Amino acid sequence: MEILTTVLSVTVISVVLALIIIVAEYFFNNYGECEIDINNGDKVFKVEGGYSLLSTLSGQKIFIPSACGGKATCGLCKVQIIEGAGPLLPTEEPYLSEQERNHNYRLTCQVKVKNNFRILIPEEFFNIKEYITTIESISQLTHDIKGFRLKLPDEETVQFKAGQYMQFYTKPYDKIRESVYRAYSIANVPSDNEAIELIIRQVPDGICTTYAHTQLSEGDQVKINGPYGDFYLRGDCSEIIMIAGGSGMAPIKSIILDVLERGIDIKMNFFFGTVTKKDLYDLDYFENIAARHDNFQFIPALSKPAPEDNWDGEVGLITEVVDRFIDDGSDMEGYLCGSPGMINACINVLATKSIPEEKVYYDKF
Amino acid sequence: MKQSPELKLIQENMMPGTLSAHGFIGEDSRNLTDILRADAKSLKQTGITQEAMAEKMQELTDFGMRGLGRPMPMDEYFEIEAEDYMGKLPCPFQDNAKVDKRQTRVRRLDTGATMRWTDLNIHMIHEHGFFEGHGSTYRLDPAQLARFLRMI
Amino acid sequence: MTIDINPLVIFFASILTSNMILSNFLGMCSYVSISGEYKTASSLGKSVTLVMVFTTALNYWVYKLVIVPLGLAYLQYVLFIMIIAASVQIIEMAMDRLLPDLHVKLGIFLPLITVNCAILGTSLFMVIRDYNFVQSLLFGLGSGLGWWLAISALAAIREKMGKTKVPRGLEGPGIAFIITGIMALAFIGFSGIFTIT
Repeated sequence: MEILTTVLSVTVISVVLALIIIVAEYFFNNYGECEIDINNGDKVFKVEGGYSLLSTLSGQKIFIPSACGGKATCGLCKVQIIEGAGPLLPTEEPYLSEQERNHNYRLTCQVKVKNNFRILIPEEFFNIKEYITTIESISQLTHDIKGFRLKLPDEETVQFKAGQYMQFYTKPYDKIRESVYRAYSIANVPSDNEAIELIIRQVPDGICTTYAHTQLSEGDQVKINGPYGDFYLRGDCSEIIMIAGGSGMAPIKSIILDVLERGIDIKMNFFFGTVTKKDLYDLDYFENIAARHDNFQFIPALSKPAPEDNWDGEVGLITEVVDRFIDDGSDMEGYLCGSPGMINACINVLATKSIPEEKVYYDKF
Repeated sequence: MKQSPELKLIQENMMPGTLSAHGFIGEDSRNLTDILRADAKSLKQTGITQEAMAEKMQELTDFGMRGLGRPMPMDEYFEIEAEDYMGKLPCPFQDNAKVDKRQTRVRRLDTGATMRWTDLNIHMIHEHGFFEGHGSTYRLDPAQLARFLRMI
Repeated sequence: MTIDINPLVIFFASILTSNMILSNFLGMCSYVSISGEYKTASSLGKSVTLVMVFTTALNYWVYKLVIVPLGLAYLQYVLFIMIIAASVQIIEMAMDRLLPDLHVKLGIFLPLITVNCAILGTSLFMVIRDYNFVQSLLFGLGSGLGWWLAISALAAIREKMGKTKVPRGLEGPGIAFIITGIMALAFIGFSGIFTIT
């Protein structure tokens, strides 16, 4: 008899405890449905809470710019949150100025949706769409740079400005169990809007670039979304200086081809700098264009040519070369794309040529 | 020794695919605590502090950066090539640090030996005494590094 | 036999003269392993205190309302452990939802505390010594605070000792036990100030 009471009582109490935990879990962990109100009632969504605002919005096909995949290292995903966000997180602090904080700007990749939100999103973000592309071709441009031409689905086009970028998604591979995304500038011209060309350079141990270089072949599908970015031609001047290194050529190429196609009356100087000849590509392509257009000058430069390069072009750091070629930059704008070190050095050299920092454009991430 | 939950979280950050393609633990089967302790001991035997070592590495990297990727001979011992890439990496130790993506390759002009490190290596050594696990892409051995940098 | 002791006496006694770690040597595993760093140890101590108070109170009512009336005293070990495990789960969920900042700091320790024998020990002592509710509550609070005090002290000592040379065989747990033993000896100096049982 005692065995029965024992078994019964332990069972009953276990069941009671289990039920209490289930109820508590339902009550506590279920953030429930949250409402997101965008632009004062313009769009209202009911979403499942518990995820970052960035991913919640992209689940609703509203894409906010992000270059780092939600790791709080690019600062691009800022949006005004009028109501609903909790206290400012330490991960957000480096990217929000005093003024931005006063206006309730937050990093959407860090803010979690736990209750109803009222947010303001700029109109241009609604132009951003998602595309499932197919790889039309992959070209090995240098030992560590590949060019990808991604064909858009039929009937779909991307309306972008020359110089903007797309976000490129990986799929899980090898030991990597999650999908990530990174930003790459568009290399083809806006009129060529049935495909997107990207130039991707292998970053040592980079998650996305390793995926692009080792896992993709022609015919594979790649998810991208965009377009994003504030790097495009302003053109309030008579002449522009464009400086690129490595894969930085992509947006510059897009701008150059766009200017020539539309017959914009502006003089362009394109400085392309690497260390040795093996890192150069598209040399003939640009020399060809320079030969056929008076308003385009192409200056490739090597900072340390190897003997076998037989290089008779410009030699020196790209900053030194720019210094030699430009005297007075007072009616010029600067367009830079490359590594942060190169960009900083070029901003300095352009400043010495009377091109102020406000007239020098580059992607700040 | 059991690992505290905080370090367990950090070790998960170091797995392949979270912050870098191959992660920072490599083939090492040890706990993060054990890796840190073993390297701390190794470092202690060299007599050099983690801060001093990281500062020397930073000195070489800064010199190399003047070349924007071009190999720069610093003196009769070191030739340095430093190359950076767009974007920043968050430090896996959850200290909110965002580190530049930069690789520094150094060649000893007298012995021909080469070593390389990233800015994240410098940060993790300076702040956390972490030299990465055995078999990881940028694993640095404290004693070998100290000899290479001519600090012992 | 309900002992007629002032709950406040029980409270102070459980911190000083009847300290969970230093007098009763309960809760040693997480005590030794997480005492490497002061900040972590202190956070763990706070979490233990919270769970201890909560579970002691809960176990008191379960004992009085379920175990005694139904004559299930022989099951009390099993039932107390089940309740402790369930409570920790619920505390963690509630903290995550209601006090997220606190959850970030203390939350990761909560599952570790489920198996801390000091928690079960406190409930069992409460039963053996036949405390009433107020006494039990203050006993739980005091035991938790005493545990916190002990682990924080050990962590502070170990951090200070970080640079000194310890004989190789004693590194880690070895020296931790020796330090604990010396602390326990020191705490004996408190005996006689308060007496319970």
